[in-house]
Amino acid sequence: MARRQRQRTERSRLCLLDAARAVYGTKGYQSVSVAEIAKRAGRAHGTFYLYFDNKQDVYTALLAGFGDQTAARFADLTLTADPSVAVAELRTLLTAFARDRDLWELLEELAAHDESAARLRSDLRAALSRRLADNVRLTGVDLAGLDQHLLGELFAAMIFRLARLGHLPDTIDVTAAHLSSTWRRVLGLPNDELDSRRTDFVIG
Amino acid sequence: MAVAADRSARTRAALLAAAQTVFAAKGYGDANVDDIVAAAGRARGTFYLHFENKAAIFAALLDDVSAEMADQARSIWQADRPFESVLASIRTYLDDFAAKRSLWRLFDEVTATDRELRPLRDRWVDTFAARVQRGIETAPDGTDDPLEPKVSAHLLAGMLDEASRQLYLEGWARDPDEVAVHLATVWARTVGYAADSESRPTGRAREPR
Repeated sequence: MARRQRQRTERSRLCLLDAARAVYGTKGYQSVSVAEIAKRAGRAHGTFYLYFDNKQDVYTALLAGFGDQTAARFADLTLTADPSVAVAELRTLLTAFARDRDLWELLEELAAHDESAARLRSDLRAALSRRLADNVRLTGVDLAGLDQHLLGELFAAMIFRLARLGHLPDTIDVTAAHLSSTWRRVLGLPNDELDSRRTDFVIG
Repeated sequence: MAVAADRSARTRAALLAAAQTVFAAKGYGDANVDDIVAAAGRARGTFYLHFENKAAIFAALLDDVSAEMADQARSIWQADRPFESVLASIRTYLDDFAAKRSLWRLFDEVTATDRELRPLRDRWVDTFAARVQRGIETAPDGTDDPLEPKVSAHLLAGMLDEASRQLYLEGWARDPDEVAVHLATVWARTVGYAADSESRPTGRAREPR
């Protein structure tokens, strides 16, 4: 009995989080009301307050879940293997960004005014930077005086920018291929994979 | 006629300067046209001779700043010293960004919150990337290059702008000169300029100091 109650409780909470996400997509943070979220979730207005204190609370929770997922994705990113694997990894990442576009927008909007959202954004950026710096180190190239961490941070800047603004220069495939090639050129890794894949994607 | 045009240009400049001050002081949302004309010492009607509304003057502020930055970057290019040219351009961009940081912070806040202004942000990003693209296309070394200039330009411009934000809006504890050298190296290697004038990037990275 207790287990079923817990499941119902968890389901309601997730329902409200999903509803908050959906309503944000159509209206933007300022215009959203708790009533709309509850209605969208198919729950009574009062039920909302069993789970969340207010609008800010539900959106903070939504972003926290998104943050955990994104950090995990960044922690897994591996660009050290052969070029086609690197391109596939980047493609997967960019696809995830597109799917979570609304949440990246929410993060940008809240980070402009809210300390904890701004901190979450910095933390995500730092997580990506650390992972890329690790990747740099694992390739084993001689950086000859360049700073491995700074290179990681700059490459992270390149990728994080795409996540924040959701504005890609071309399709996901083409963008991923260019990110991978840029990575390899900067580190001086052989890039013959790109030439053999030239006919595999449409240019221009 | 020349006198009238002069006066008009001065009025426009006064309104833009006032808008920047008012936006910085009150935030975009709370600022209004009355605040701007008061700060500029002009009549309300005069505002509407030059700008359609608050969003329009904000867009104009942005256009002016980005045009200034473009001019600065252009004058630095020396075809026989591509890496040094890139480094100088990057240094200038960082300095310009630093000088206008409150405007960029405002820009971020406004475009994040006000959905109608998002196309403005995308347009600005594309304009900047297009300038970088022209630079890449007219570069010496990159002819057998399977990378698309348009795509590389967008990625490099994004990296530069993002790094600027980190340095001047988010308190990134890095030396701007060190950041500039690394940015220029990433840039040069992506585009195919030699990092030093004698050699191309190889499996062992080499960097003149």
